[in-house]
Amino acid sequence: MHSQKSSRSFFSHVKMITQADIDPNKVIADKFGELKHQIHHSLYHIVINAWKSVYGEDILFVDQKELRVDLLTTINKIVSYISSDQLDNVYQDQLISHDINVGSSYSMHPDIKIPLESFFAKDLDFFHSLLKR
Amino acid sequence: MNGKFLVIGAKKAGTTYVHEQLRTLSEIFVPPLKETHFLLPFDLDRKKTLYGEFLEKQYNCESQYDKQFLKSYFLDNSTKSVEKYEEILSSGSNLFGECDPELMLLDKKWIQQLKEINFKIVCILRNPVDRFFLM
Repeated sequence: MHSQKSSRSFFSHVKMITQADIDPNKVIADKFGELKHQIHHSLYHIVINAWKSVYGEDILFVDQKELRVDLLTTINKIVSYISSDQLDNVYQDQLISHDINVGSSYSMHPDIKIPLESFFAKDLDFFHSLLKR
Repeated sequence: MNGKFLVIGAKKAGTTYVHEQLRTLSEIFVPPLKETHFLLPFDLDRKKTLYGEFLEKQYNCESQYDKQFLKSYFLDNSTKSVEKYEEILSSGSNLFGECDPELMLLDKKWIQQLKEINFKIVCILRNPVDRFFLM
């Protein structure tokens, strides 16, 4: 039943695109292009290694979670690094506080999560090793 | 006070947020328009987009550094080089940089040249699998 609903939904979507006189090939190509770009961004063991091969250990790595958990400390860490400790501490009232994109409220289904974790296994290892330092 | 830096990182990892925070600090210059893509192959498309946004949103560009940046960036038609990039980004300030996740995919020849002229690198990351729920 669920798959029937999903199928209808999919074909309705295609019909909508066709009726709007949008080339479905272009939509698919654009989505595919964006997906490829996103995958490239997640291939940390390749893209970050390119930076590390030049900069060595001289890069400050920050986990996005740090920004969410303690913005002030994390911004101070960044400011201290980029100014070589020349700048005084930043104070709370100097910061803009609003909700950072915290992600989807849904949890990832294992059918999606497991293959993704397998695909990005090297990148996950790399990610954890970089942030442990 | 001197220094130059780039905040790179994965998309959806918070570089825009860091850009906004650094913009509030008067001692540091980051461009009023985020992500120039100056050293990237698609910089001209980005320049057109940013110009459109600039006209539409009427960015707050009151400081002398902002004005100098806009003039240099939009009027620049010179060949790409890290020196030119540095000149445009600095806009006369001594401590400057930009935040752009696309720079993470920068060609290695540019990375080497950035290192030679002492750009510091901050890299903001997010669990690569979690990122896919935000696409």
